[in-house]
Amino acid sequence: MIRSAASLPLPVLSLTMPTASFRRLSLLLLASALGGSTDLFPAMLQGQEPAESNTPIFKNLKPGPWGDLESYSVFLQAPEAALKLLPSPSQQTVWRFFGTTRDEVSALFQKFFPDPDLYREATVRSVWYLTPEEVRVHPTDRMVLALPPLARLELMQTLGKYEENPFHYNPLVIEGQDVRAWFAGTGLSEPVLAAIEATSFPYRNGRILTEVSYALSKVDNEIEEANFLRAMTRNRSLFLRLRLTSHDTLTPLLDYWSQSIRLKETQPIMESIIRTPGVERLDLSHILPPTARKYLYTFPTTAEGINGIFPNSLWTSLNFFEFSPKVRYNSPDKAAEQLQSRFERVLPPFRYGDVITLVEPTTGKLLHSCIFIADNVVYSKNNSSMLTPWVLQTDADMMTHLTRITEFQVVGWRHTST
Amino acid sequence: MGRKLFRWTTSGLICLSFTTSAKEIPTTEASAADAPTGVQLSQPGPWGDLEYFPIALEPPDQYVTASGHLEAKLVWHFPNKTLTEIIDLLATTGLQESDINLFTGPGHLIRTGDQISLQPPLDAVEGLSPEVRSKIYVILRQWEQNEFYAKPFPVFSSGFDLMVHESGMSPSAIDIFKKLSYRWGSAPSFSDLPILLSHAQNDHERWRIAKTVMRSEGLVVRLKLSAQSDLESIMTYWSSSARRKNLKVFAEPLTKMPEVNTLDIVHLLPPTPRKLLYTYASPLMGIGSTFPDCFWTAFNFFAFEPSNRYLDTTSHRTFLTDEKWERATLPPRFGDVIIVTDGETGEPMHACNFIADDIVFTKNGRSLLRPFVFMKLENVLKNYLKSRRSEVFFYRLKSEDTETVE
Repeated sequence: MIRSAASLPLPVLSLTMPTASFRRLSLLLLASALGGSTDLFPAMLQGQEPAESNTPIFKNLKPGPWGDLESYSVFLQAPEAALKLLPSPSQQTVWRFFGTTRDEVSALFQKFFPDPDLYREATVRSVWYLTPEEVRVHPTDRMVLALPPLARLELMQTLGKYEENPFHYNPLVIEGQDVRAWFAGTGLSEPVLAAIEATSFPYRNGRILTEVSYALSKVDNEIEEANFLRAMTRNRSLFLRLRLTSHDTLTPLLDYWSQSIRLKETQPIMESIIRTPGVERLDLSHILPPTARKYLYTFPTTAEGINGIFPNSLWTSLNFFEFSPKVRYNSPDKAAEQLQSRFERVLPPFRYGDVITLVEPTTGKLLHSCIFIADNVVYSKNNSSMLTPWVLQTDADMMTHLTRITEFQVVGWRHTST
Repeated sequence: MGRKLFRWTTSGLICLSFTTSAKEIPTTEASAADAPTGVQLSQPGPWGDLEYFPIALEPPDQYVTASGHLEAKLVWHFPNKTLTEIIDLLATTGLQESDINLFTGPGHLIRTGDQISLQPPLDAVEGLSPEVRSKIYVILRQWEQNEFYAKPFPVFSSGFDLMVHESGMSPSAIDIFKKLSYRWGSAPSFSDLPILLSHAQNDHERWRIAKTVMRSEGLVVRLKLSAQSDLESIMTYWSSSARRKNLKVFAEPLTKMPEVNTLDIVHLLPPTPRKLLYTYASPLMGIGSTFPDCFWTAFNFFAFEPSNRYLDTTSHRTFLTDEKWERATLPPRFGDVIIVTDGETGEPMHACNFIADDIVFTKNGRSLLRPFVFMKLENVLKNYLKSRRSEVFFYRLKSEDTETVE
């Protein structure tokens, strides 16, 4: 059944999440309790934070118990070995509607294409395949280009329920609003960039491209196609550095960053930094636990799927403090068991190492999780794909990647042994 | 003083002779003057411009407790020696007859079966001259039962000040720590934890003394980058053949941000050393009572998941016959395994990984109290080249086996 935009689940938290750090979640949860309105829907499309530039930026995080943290961003791209495993998508756009009828798809197109000529093109001149299971549409380029942003969002949410629509299910995420800055240095030509600009749409804190095939149809040669595939795996991650200048300010920092279940003691390292002339900053990776540090800024290797399952967000969060990662945390059921037995629920303000879970409001099912680091920065792996790295990113950027999560509640957990 | 002779040859073998003399072993304080502890620069090379500085690492509380060292007593073991032989041995050290009588007298001599050990008074040992103490320690260290003498606590080669910085030890305890430190070969060492603990003014200081003595030194190493840096060639060095990680993405932004001009090289390490750097091995990493040592650490440098085959006592033989590795030609490259062997028996004594310039990645010993660190090769070798000729070999992962490396 295809639902109209007006009947989509109310994405109350989703609408407001991009503008909020986790410190403000209590207010958001209150907003959720008060209900929501589809009037907010366009706001979701626009994103409410000023778009970040995609050029390297040096920033200071907000001050807090985490101390004086500086950040800068880097772009990560999947390694060539992983790209070799990536089949090149077709340049023909296909929209596959499951569990619906031709009439329902036609009705949807009528809403998407109010122009009668375009509607006729969608329903008469484009190619349709009908089977009992699905309605498969090969839209024309004109249709792909003419979709308004709201329609693109609805199409993503409709088609993205099915893995058979790979780029609606896992769309290409552009963190920030500037397409050209995001793809700078990737070797993409002007026609491809123009196609991406024309067919991507604002979503939460960034832009989303679902019509990858259309953009791919604009590549000029095999080299550019390879560049395109490589660029598709771009992710922005933060590097964080902790400024340490005075012994006097160390105690609260140690309280924030030290965890009793860690295998190394943070204090002597911090003291060494303070003591060393000419050194004021400690790369945050030295504070992270070993497993988190091992995976940060990397993409999964085939070796990690040797058990048949690749690490997902739950695996990443629940193994944050584990020296030897446990495969079973990939399972929402096992992860929930672990949370119930070894963690306790906590409310904001969160602290370093807390597991932030996004759960389905009605069933409580775990949808996603990440680790709170500081301010609005989390440690996350946004899905189990080999093309998705482990990153430090803002909560807003993380939410931009979670396109299939529209309704959720936030529940924080703290390891009881901390 | 001893004399070190480093000789580099093009065959991939470094012959390194380390000679000692009788005068070389004792001496008093580990380091009369502390080495510079500020930021230092490496020699430039294909690795780029590196800067480094020393840091102190401290084992986790539970490890200190589990070590049992807090309750350690000053006991000298003389396995299979008669009392007469023990007295004769002590006499060779220059120990006064009155002290020998005291140490072997009532209340200080312990008989366990037919074995004899001594519990000399702490203040008497503390009052011994450095020369006499050193000679006694040479005798004691031949038996592994004398743990603190056979495997003394290493004192920081970068200086005493860093080792005791913000340690919570009183100035007087620090003075005694310095006074009782000594050099074994050229390695600054300390064996008298029970004496030092006896000077603690309270339980807290006792705890802080134990943790400080168990501190280890490491280096933080950073790659200096600027708009003029030749990123291609620098990243080629750190990529080590066919590593899968795109290291350039980390370095490139730094050339465009004047606020950030160094990249911590932890980000350039393969996954396993990146995970382990500055940490202490978890007991869960062991099999039975066997825990990761230098060989396990060095041989697993490029492995995504470490192989516990290298926990076996014959791991170095496994490694030497492993077809994945080959003898390396100089100059050494990132990740090369450096094996230090006893020049006389050919038996491997230590292994570590070449990082850049004279910096290596190493775990010095199997003890859980010894972390995974960067160190200068020279300082690592001090702990292994105590009195005999040694040889150093380089091994390199064959290029066709780097496909699986991240």
